[in-house]
Amino acid sequence: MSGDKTVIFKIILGLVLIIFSLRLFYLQVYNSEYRTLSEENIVHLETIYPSRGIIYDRNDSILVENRPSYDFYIIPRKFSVKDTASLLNVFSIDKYQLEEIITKAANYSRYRPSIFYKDMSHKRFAQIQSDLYHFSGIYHVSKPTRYYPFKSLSHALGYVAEVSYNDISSDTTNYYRQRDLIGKSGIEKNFEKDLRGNKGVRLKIYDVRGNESGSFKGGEDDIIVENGSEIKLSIDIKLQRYIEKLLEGKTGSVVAIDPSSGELLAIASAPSFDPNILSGRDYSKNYRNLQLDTLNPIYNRALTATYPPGSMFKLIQALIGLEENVVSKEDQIYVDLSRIGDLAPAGIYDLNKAIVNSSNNYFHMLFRKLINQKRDNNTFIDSRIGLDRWSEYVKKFGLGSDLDFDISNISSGFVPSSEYYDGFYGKGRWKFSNIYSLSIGQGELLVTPIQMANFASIIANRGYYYNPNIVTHINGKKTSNNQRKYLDIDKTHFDYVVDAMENVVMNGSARRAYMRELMLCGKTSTVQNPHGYDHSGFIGFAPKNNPKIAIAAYIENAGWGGRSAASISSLASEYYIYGKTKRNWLEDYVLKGDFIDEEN
Amino acid sequence: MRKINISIFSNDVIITLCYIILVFFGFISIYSSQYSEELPFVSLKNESFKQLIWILICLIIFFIIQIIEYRFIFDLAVPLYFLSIILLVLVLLFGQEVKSSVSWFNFFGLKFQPSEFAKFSTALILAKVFDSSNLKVDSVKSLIKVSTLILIPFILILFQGDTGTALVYFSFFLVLLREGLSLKFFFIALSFIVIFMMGIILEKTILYTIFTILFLIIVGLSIKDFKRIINSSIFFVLVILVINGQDFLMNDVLKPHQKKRIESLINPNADPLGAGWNVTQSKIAIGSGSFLGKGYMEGSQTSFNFVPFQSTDFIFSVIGEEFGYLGSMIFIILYFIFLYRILILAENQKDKFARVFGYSVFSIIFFHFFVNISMTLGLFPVVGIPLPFVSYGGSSLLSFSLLIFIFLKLNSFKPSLLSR
Repeated sequence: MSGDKTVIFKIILGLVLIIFSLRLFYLQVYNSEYRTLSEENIVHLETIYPSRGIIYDRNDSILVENRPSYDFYIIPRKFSVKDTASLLNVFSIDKYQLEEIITKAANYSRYRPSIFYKDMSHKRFAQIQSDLYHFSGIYHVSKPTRYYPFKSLSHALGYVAEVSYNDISSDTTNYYRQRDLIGKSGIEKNFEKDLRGNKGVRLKIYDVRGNESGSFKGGEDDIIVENGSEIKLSIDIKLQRYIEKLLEGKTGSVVAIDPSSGELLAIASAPSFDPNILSGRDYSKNYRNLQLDTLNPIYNRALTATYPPGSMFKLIQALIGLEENVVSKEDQIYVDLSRIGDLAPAGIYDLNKAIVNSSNNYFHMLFRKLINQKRDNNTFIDSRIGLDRWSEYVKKFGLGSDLDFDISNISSGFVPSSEYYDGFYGKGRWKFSNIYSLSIGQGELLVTPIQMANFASIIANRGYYYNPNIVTHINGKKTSNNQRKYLDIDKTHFDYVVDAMENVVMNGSARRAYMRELMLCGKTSTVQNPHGYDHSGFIGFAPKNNPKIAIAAYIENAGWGGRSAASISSLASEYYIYGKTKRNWLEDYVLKGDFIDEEN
Repeated sequence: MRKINISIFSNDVIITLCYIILVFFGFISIYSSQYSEELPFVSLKNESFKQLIWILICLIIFFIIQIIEYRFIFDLAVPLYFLSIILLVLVLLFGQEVKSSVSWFNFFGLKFQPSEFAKFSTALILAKVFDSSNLKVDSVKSLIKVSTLILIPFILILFQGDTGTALVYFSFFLVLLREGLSLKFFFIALSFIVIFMMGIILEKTILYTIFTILFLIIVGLSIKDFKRIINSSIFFVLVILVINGQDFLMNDVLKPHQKKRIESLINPNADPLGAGWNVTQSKIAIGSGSFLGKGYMEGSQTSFNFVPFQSTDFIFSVIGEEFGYLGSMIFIILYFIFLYRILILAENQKDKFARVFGYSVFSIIFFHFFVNISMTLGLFPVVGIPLPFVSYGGSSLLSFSLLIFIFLKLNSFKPSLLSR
């Protein structure tokens, strides 16, 4: 025997020892992924979705609730169907779509569920439920979907939809995951954080056969789900629906406010749409159709449409004139028709008569007195000082402001100041004759319907207002204590203007809106529209004493303000105060909606 | 000789100690893998309780072997070998099919696996043959003679469908390596295995090209050495046969589940929930143990049964998960001390019978250990062979213990060798 016979065996032993030590070191010390993998094996993350907050109106009617809809998932490995035709029928898809879905799912994973069919309505699900057991490998999961029982108030409520890529990337809290829902407009968007609640997470331990065996670390890492908050709106859904009915077939908007609190009673924009069509399976198709509609039904005119205020602005001019003392309640002057086009006749006018008859020339003279108060000898500088002072007054009425409203997508309108005309004509190169259109609420001045409703509320309150608001309670807690805002304009001036507004309805341009016991006070506007028929506008409140409702209405291309806007406002006020309307003839007149023909 | 040596202190202390610790390691690992609140310990459904019974039986056998005579073991070699061959044939006819292989006898619920027992009797017959004929494996003739003894049980077990256990018989060629077999054969066999595995990964045309070029280079370099050209030509033809035979072996000889095991060794993600599952889960169990382990009875892979056959073939994954790198290395090193000690003692035997038997014990246990740990670590295809002394199973614990006990007996008899 030559040498050590065991050498070869010792070498083999040594090599194997080295291989095992290195392999174990690699698996156990160097590579840390196995620790994670072993936890992933047993710990399954279960997301618990909160139910989105329910929205109520001021009388606790449910405006938005959650109804189940169904998503179907397919596990390709378990998928088998005896009767393919019945499967195609149940899901209303064709053979090629089915093949495509299955291929896609199998490419992702044969063992894990992939989406098969999304958002089946509860109604459809009930019809096909009995067929489902024929299809193995297809599972359904119910999920809450927004449902709007009244099919109403769509613009203010807004809608929810699956988060977009942008929603996820702009979400700094990293809350949203693919396929989560998010509020896209209106209250759903602005109160998203309250309505959505917070998702919960449960860590569960599963054994190899998928049997649940308790919670991971005794549930100490779990996150408890928080359901969304209930939101109560100031809206009176009955009034809202009544106004929406009156607006049918028209383009425009109506905003009604409770002047004693600033709470919105109704906010309607026409044309409108059924909010349910943006919740569910055909969301994207329906959304596209709404966007393509030339009348732009998805656009919330009440908050974002801007119009020149027209004659209703004369009320503001009158109040500023009285406060600035350029006119007194007793003054009587002769008005001719030399300055500006006018429908009111020439004659002797006091302020009351000028309002009732809506005399353009009277307000032209009044505005001139306001602007050119001879504070400077240079007429250009004088106009400038006058305009800026006037502009400050106008802004006190909430014009040119977003009024701190609950829904952020709101337009501020426009109140021109001297800087604006400086930019337009050049500094020191404009005077009263360039800006006189403002006297009758035309020209560069732009207001939104909600601003005019707020203005109606100011007059109703004789000199103060609360910021308009729509969300009054979140989870039963009052949202804010809204402060009264005084305009610092003498209350007696308002009393005087209110009397004139009562006259407008009794004897003036809004006669059609008159109803003795309603005691509606208002002012019409016929807003000049360079693009077509004039817009019809009205602001008012009722009753005269202790007003319960202040309202503004704009109906586009409906001609005289005295016809459609005043009639709708009057009917809405009557409906809100008495709970019903007696004037069927006026209702029929509004619903028929042929306001233009009459003019000729 | 008339004196009966029953002093257990004359046994080798290192081997005895290692044996006890390994069996203990096995028992606590089986206990952990079996533990369930619903299952009482004292129950025939509880594998850890049954293992305890088997351990006690081994203890009894240990004392029995201490009192039997050396000569008796020597004389028993031939009858035991024939008995096991008969049993292997009988099990093919009357055996019970478990997991697609017919390797079990079932005596009134007590299961017995003749292939485990045959390892022991083959080791004995080899020792006897080498000892009595003073054989040396230096010629093809002697190689064939010895190989026949090994290949008969090998083929019978292959017929049973138990590839793993059959493969163990290749470990006897390690013994031949000690008894004169040229290292060349060893390396040639090894290279064929490597080429076979390459055939699974690489395209056949690539392999043909590589070996043709290699062959031409060798022929070109040894143009004057005619014998080397002949040898390399034979080798080249064999390589071509192996490459071609790989398809035949994979598709026709191997069962689909065996083929999948080989494929998933190369790419465990090919079928992660099928053939790759065991290995993937075993690797996760061991890997998640990290340096210090999750603690005894704290392994989630173990307590939630993620690793199939955990108490038997994958018992090392329990150790890896619950005792970590530190515990695993202590275990591995302990095993190596055990094997090294067997090797040294085997070589030191003056008696050829004892030496060949010792080398057989070393080879069998080493082969099991190497293949079993390699497969739990994802280094070797999954063949169902247990980890000696650690895995659950009566037949395997009994037959491995028998090997060790007999070897200890032969070793302790050394001093009285002269009196034979």
